[in-house]
Amino acid sequence: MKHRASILRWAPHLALLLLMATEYQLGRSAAQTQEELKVLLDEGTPRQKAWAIHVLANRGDPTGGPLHRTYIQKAILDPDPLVADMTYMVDVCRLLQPSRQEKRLSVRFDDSAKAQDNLEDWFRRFEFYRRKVGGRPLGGSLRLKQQEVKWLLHVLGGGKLDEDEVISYLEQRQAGTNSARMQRLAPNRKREREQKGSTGLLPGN
Amino acid sequence: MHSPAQNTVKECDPIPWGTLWLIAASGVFLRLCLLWIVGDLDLQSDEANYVYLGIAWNHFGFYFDQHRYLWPPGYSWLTAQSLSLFGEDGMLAVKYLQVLASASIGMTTMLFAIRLFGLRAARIAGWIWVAYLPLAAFTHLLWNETLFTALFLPGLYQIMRLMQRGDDPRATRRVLLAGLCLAGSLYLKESPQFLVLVLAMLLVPFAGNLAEGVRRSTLLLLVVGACILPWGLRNQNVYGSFIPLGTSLGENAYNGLNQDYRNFDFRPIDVERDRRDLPPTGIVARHWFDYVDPIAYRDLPARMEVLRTQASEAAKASHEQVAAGGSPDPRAAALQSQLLRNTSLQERWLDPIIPREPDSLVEFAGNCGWSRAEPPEVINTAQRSAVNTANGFRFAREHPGWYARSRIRKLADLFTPASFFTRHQALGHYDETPLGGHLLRKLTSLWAIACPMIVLLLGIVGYTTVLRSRPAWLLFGCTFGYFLCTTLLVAMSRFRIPTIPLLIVLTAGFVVHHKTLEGRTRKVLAAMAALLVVFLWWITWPENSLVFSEMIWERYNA
Repeated sequence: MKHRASILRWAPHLALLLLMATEYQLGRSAAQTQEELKVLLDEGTPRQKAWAIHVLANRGDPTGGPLHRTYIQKAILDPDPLVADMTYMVDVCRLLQPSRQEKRLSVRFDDSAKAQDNLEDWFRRFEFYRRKVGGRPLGGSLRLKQQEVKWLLHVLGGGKLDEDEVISYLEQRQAGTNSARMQRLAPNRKREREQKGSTGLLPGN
Repeated sequence: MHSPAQNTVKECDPIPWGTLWLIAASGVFLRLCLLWIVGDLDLQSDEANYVYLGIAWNHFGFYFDQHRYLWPPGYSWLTAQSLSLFGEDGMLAVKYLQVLASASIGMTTMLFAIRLFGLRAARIAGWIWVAYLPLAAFTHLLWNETLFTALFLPGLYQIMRLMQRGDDPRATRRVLLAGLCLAGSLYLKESPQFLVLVLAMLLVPFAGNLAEGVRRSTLLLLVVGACILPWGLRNQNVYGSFIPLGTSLGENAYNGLNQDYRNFDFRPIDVERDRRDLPPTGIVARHWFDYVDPIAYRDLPARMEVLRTQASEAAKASHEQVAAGGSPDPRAAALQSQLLRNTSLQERWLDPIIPREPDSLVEFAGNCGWSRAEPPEVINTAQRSAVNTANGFRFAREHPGWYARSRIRKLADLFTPASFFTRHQALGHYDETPLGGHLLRKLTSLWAIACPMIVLLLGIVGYTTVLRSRPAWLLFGCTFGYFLCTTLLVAMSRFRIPTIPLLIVLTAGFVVHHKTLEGRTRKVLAAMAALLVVFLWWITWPENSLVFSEMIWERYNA
């Protein structure tokens, strides 16, 4: 009886070990091979494609994989907005210098008539690109503000934006940063070099 | 009344739940009032990052890393769910949740105090928690500190109860609860992941017998393991290596084991000062604690002269080498750039201020710092973190003197009287709210500085004097020691938040039992502990007093 009681005291351990084994098994079976991911990249739903890009851009050394220059350039123009949005995120931008994305976003500031994306798609991509976390060398410049969150959620919910209001707001924010940079007491070469990073781009320009 | 001679638990003493809940409700109400007063503040620093990650999670259906970090997903997931449920009010909803969750911190603080020092101490601890402004302020900020502590602290409390009662009939339930709480907290902050191992080991000697100790210890590890395994496997799938929850070691090594001194309590303040044309806080810092290669002011001209000679000789030799058909000597360019950097530093440090102390130390810049591993050299997040970590450790090995000096500075940064509340006040984030008004700004800032000063000082003295319960002494010591070790890499006021409730308990214990203090050794220990804390404040005093006087008290008029 005493033995039984002491054995029963280890029952939670057994249950947890079984749980962990199940989790491990489920985790292993859910993991996709490179080949499976490549199939998803070509034939998957937009969500599956986005996930495949995410994993392929991160696992191991992704250089020389299916996310090559041509694929990414094609993905920027993908008719599905989710796949096109993915090219502005941290995963793709650290894989290949995001110069095309830069150009596509900045054209609306330079000459809005030449803008290739409609305002809502453009704004969403601009926010995902320019407000990305920790990614100064990869295009991020400023952090999200509540006004932008409000517009971003509105756009993600299918709402429309007022171009003048949005552009003047963004230009004003950027101008504030530029003037702050101009006012710095002395040029900081190290900071500039860090901001440029390997892509050679200065965020915000 | 509990005697500090033992700090033992009297199980027969009923816990006055009514009193504890009343105090906890007061704390929640005060935090709620603070939230109503400040409203939904605009996003600052990492707050914006959590919201970005939450929005991206909702849009793409998965969690992105932060390029330089891989944070655990808990807080971003919560933000994502909240935004999905409440739209743009989702951010405010998280803040309301934090206000409610803070009750867990208050209750656990009082429970710790009641078990260790009795009811009177528990009441005092409760009221200190209610009034502790820097802690309260985190409930209206989108940082994970409140939710993390609300889970971490009950886990720690259950561990203490297990350590205090070897024959506890509810031991299994306590271990399960502790494991769930700790695992939940790890999903918000991965930093205490190795503390769980320490806590599991602490359970062994206090369980009555070895078999029971091993049973409890392994059960705790299994509960935590079962909770974090799925996320580790997800990371394995995405990054190709098993990362249990997240990784920030590489970036922290870059920030903390590198030439430039970085403290994120001052970084945004320096940006703001730069914008307002004010000199950086660094001009008044006690540089002995952070310069890699410090020299005295009086030696600076001689060192500059030597460097000038070396640079000109190397440049001449390099020219001759090129003229003879060879390639330029890279040492010449390196010396030239070192000379330029030193010249600009000399201007920066000597021109704006008259050196009051000719023996004080200035930086003599070499180019010994290191840059982050970045794409395209290293793309994989785990590998990048590993490369940065290795670079940081190499830098520390190469500069042992600097390492020792700068760790004292890190300790001082952890013990600083400043907090995120005073940082927000200095940056003017409360300016649009009543808290930013002339009088309230000064009063609340003074209060926010007084809180950590009292609690840090009395808490540490309390630990060395009135905490006599061996299990609690070990548990608190290991927890303090662990967080101290993690912050030796990068430190700031925010990193001490999880230990503040424990210090509040010790403060209350000291207030109640200080008269019973006996023995010369304990008094000497208490005096030494107090002196150490005062010494650490002295280190950060110049920057803190500058920020307080110019940015909080005078509001940029200096």
